[in-house]
Amino acid sequence: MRSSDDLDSVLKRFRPAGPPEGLRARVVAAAGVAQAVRPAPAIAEWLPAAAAVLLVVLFHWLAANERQQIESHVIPVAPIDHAAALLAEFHE
Amino acid sequence: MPHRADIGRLYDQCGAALYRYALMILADTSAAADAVHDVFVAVLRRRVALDHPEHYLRRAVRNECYSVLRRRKTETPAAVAAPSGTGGPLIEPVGSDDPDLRIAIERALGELPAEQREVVHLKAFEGMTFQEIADATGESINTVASRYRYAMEKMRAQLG
Repeated sequence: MRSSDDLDSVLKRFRPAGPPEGLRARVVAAAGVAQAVRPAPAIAEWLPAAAAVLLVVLFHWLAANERQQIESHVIPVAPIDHAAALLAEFHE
Repeated sequence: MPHRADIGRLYDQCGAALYRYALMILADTSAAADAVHDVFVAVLRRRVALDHPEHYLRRAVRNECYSVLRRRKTETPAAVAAPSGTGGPLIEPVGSDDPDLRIAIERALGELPAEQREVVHLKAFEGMTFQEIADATGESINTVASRYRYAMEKMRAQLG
């Protein structure tokens, strides 16, 4: 063998051997088993979604609570248009 | 997510090429078959979406093969040094057969380290460029070219 080119051309007369006959059937059968015994989705997969829902509920509850507290401290007043109309009547 | 039928289709599409790749890294027919089998099963178990299945599977097979070699190294260091030669033939003729030459090349390939055999496979048998091999293996183009040169020198010396 004189050069890499010679060896290259010799190698081109061959190729790696192909897969054994039963490999496809083995792969497909194992794939079927793997699919059949696939475990239910782990809790970890649902954790981000559950945490997001929990946060939404928590913030909604906090906001509602805060709104209720503010409303309890504020004295309701008559609308400004109504007050203006009353004053106008008084002046007349 | 691939299903059983998809796995069959995927195997028809690239199973043989993946087996050949694994065989050239491991130089062991049964270990190559196991590696390909394990990768296909792992694809289903991990439920990965395969946009480019060939690239993903090639990389997965490569990782699996080198894991096998690492395990062998820690379990039985002598088994790595010796050419395995287990199972069937490593190579087959494309046209007319020259059994003596085939056996000599097979022996020379078996003597190479896995990394060099891998580069020979990708360059000589799959016709990839050094740049493509570098991209596929994650090695630098210089490393890939050096491995090929060393492999060719060793094989030439062996073949005489």
